[in-house]
Amino acid sequence: MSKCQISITFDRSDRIYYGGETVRGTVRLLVDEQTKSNGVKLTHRWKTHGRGNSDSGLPDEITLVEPRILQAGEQLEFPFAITSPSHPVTYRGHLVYIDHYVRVDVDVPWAKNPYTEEEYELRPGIRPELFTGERNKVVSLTAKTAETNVGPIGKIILWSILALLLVAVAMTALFLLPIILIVVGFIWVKKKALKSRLGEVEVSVPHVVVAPTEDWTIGIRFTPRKSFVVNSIYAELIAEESATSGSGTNKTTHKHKVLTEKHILREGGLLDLEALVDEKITITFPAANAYSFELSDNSLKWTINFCIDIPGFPDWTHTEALQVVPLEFLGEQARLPNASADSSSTVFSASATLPFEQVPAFSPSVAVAPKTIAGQGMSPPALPPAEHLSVPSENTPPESIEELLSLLESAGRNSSQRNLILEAAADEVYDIAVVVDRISTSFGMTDAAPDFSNGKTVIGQIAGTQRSIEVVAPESMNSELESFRRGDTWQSSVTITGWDSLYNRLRGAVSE
Amino acid sequence: MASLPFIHLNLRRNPFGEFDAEERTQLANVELGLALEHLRSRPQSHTPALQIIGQKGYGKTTHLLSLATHFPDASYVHIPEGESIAIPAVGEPLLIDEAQRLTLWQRLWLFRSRRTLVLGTHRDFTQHLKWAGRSVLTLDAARHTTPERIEKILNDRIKSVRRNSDSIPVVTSATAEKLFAMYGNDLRSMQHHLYDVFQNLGSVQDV
Repeated sequence: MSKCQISITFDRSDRIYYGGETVRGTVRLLVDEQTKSNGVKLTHRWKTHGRGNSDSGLPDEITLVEPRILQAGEQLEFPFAITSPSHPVTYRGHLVYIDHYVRVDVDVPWAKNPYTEEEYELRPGIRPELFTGERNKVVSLTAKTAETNVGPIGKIILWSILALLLVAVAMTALFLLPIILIVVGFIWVKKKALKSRLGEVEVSVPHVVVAPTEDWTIGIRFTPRKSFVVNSIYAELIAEESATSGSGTNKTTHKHKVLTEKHILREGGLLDLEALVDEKITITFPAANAYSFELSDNSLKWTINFCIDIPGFPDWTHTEALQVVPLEFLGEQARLPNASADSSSTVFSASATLPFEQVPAFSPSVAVAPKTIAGQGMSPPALPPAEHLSVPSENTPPESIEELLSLLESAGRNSSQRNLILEAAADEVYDIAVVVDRISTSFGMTDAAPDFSNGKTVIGQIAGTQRSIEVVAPESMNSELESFRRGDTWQSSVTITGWDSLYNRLRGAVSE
Repeated sequence: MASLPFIHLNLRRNPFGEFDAEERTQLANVELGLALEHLRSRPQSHTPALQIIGQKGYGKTTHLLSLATHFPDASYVHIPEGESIAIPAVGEPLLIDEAQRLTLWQRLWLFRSRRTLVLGTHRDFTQHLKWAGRSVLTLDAARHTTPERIEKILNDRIKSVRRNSDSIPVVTSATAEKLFAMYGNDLRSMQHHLYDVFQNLGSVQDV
């Protein structure tokens, strides 16, 4: 039997906290047998788990008990309050998981320390200081290593040593010269051949720091120097996890594509000599909660690959690295889609839109903060007095979605009352009609059941109300949901699974 | 609603992902009786040396980390591929992982020193150690690998990430035998195989 029993409870039963919020809870310690202890400490940090070696953040430590003898039967209780970081947010993928932990260790000399560890879910909250408004280059969110200041003379010496080393390697590897020349020659010939057909190719992305659900216009422009046929011109959006396990000869890097979306800029056909090819497409960035990160052994990288697919000829390709960040990290810079506008979300056909110069700029006046998406005002309504709240008992769940909405309305922003209402409704199945705002992939949703994790999420308004809802659907409904467009009404039977505090909307799942 | 990883399996994480050194040490399931006896015997003329020999994924590092827990003054060093590193001047015994990467000079100097050595290696140094006047014990890292032991190792890993006393997935004897037939003594490949199985497991069940 362990010398101590340790438990950690959080003040929120769902354990969901937003970046910068205070995570509160209580540590309880029950001593089973007299133990000499070098102290009891609480550690708060994030770390990765999954296929790769674990990466972790710097721990914050709090001493709960100074070194002393813990007496058998002693019961100790410590409330704690720690500030959650702004990033990295919780991520649950295939090869990589990022979780935030509170751990309590009893330091017992010369013995295995009793400890317990509990995780909480960190969602995007405050904006990291590194995000200053620059969206045209990737912002490094990992801690920088200390720069060595060697001075100009030191730099000259280092460069000289490097040059000497390169010469030495070149001298000893002369036998490799023909192979290197062949490879370099092939690349050069390919580049020249493509240039002789395509001329200068310009690709355009509005910015490389992108948030999910943003409208994003990409384009390609060139003037062919010859007439030739293409299979297609397309851009492929790729999100890929990478996890490295082991070290030395045992080191293995595993990769897993989280998302691949192909957007056709132009269908196959003949491109005429000197006829300008100027194709653009506006895509709505996928709503997956898979944000970019790059740690020493684990990463999630987003890229967009442009390709001119030419039959019987090398393809022209260009890759642009992107950084996908939570909308909250962009603040006023967020360029959110206008809910009333007809967006060309996930367009798979070619459609020439405005030329580059005519793409309308988003003015700050149309940029909206996340909470206004759900149709709520910026200032939260005052909490209604508790005695005015009518909360159903466990035996009387709301019978219809209208009754549920009415109860939620009366609870206002009182989260404990709202939780009671939602708990009472949890076992009910409601028939609802949703006016579709958008449908996105559910991948990356941290609490989706396995059957739903590869399915779709429908986001919209409950018909006839102003109330928003997001409903996760199983993978088996993917083809059915792909036929829906913004403004269509989708009907389904759903069970209520919770409340999204950030967007102020109901969360549900298709009842199977 | 709590949204915790692998809660549908009553686990904290995928048990077949990469564990850190502390977790691996706690889970180590190796028979060390002979090794400890050899290392603690200090005949006057022969300093002991222990070799753990095995291929990749057979458990050499696990053996070394487990042995280190029995010696509070031990030093452990891992030599990365293509690198030459400084050998710690203190620590008794000295545990060297990937000892086949020691430079010739390091080998000559270390083998002739009076420090107790524990080597995790692909290469057998018995003769070199004996020439240096040491008493040598060589253990095969996979010496006890049987389907029964594999079943225990895999299920211990699952239990180590259990959330509460409710049921958890169990690797059956039949699966352990199949894995043994597929991968032999290579525990790491078995873990990689089971990682994907657990990623797709929808509920608590026998595997």
